[in-house]
Amino acid sequence: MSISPSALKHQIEAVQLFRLVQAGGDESEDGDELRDMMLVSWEEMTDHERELLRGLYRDLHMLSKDEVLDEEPATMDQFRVAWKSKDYTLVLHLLRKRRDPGLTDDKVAYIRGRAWGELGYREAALAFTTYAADASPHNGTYAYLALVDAIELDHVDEALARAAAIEAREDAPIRSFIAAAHALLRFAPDDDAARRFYERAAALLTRAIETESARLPTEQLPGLLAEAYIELGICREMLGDVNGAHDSYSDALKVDPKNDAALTARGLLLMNTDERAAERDFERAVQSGTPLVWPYLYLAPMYLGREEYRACIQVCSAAFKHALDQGDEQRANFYEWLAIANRACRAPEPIVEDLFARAGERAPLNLRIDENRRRQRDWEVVRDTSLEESRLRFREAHKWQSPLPAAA
Amino acid sequence: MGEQEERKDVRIPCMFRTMWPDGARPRVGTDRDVLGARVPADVNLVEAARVRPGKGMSVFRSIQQMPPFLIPKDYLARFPEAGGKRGKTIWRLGTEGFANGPVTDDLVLRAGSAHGALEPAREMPLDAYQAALAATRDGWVPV
Repeated sequence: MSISPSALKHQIEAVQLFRLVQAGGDESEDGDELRDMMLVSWEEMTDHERELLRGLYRDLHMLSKDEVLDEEPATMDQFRVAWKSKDYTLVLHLLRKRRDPGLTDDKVAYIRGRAWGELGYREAALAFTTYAADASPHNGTYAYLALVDAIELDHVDEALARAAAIEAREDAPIRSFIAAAHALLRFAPDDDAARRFYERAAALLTRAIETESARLPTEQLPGLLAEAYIELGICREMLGDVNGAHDSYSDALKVDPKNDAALTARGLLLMNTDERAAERDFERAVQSGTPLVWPYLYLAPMYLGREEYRACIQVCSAAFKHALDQGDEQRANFYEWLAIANRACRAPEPIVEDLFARAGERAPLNLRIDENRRRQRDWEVVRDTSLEESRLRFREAHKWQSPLPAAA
Repeated sequence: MGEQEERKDVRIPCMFRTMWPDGARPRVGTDRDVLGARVPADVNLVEAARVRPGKGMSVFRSIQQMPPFLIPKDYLARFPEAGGKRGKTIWRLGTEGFANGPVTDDLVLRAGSAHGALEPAREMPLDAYQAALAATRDGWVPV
């Protein structure tokens, strides 16, 4: 069931209200003004959402130790059945009837965080995962979840504070190190201070890699290790250490040979120094059906330049099928190269003209497309996205979109 | 409250509102959470000092249907979702069903499904509307 914008807004306001109360600010005008705003979102919600969020208010009372439990107790069996069947509304309901002493505050907060998160109320979830992490600071899973929730909700200050706390720990699980590094990488400022963020992230990733590598090979998680190596490579690129970055991407491929992000990152890195090696990486990434646009964007013009027209057509077609992150500039290039390759293969002219027209529609100011359209040979094959911009956009997308490792 | 007024109360729709107490009755005023309308938030101003129906002082059908953030935390034992400021009281006026209709000669209830407004019965001076609200003071009982 989809959640209305008003309900999503209200959960944020409810959490804000409880934080305000906790900070002793409820007697201020802020509390009254917040409640006035809350009335608007409350009245816009559906009856079902209002009922669900009444429960959120009950749950949030645990943050100030004011929670009142229902008189009728729930059994652990009821609770386990609800959890197993993923009935998260029922899980939350049963937690309000809990009696089992094994359900300590940190566990209850953790379960509530998971349940509210599964129901789509991420801000509410963060309130509980944060509580669990603070209530049980030695629990690595809680620390990790609180950090990931903060990152995904763009709570910059909170994410950076939690990352710093993990940095200071010696016993954090590898996931926490990676998530903390991810927070530093994602929220690094745009000024000179960024260097320090990348250095700190690189140090955390090195610790994560050392920790994971020390485990028995059968117990290692290749995907997790590869992700750590890729992020380390990105940090090293940002720090100007090209050789170190190359080593990191290669290490990622040693543990996960088909990792398309590592192949793409290394391919882009090699384009200046060893284009043939870059091509091999892009070929492997394209063969894997990567959703990243960059391998297609570099491989297609290489084939076209060598008059391997059929291969070029295959790569451009695959790009349209698989690459999810292409913009108009890249689409225009793919259509233009498809048009050229088809003309070279003597495809019917209406098909070629249609492809050139599609390219022109996506890049109306690009005069070269029209010039190529008028030519029968000696086409000018140019990739309109520069190498520098490709690298930058790959790194940015990776910072924002790479999956954080799942909790244990 | 006189005998005649008590008889009137029987026909008044039942409604609830959170307000600061002043002794055994709600505090009268024009601030938040008192017996009176906030200007301009709660009134439909025709001109500077005159109001007409369309807006009014907020009331609710029941405590169960009040937003949790308006139920004072002092009520937590009875309403575990209560998240309102402590120190206030929930008051009830009337006993009849929560429906559109007159409350006094100068006030009408405009009832929604859960929320309603105690509005002026017709266009009148703002002072008269506030006085009409204040005149209900003795009819409100703490819950």
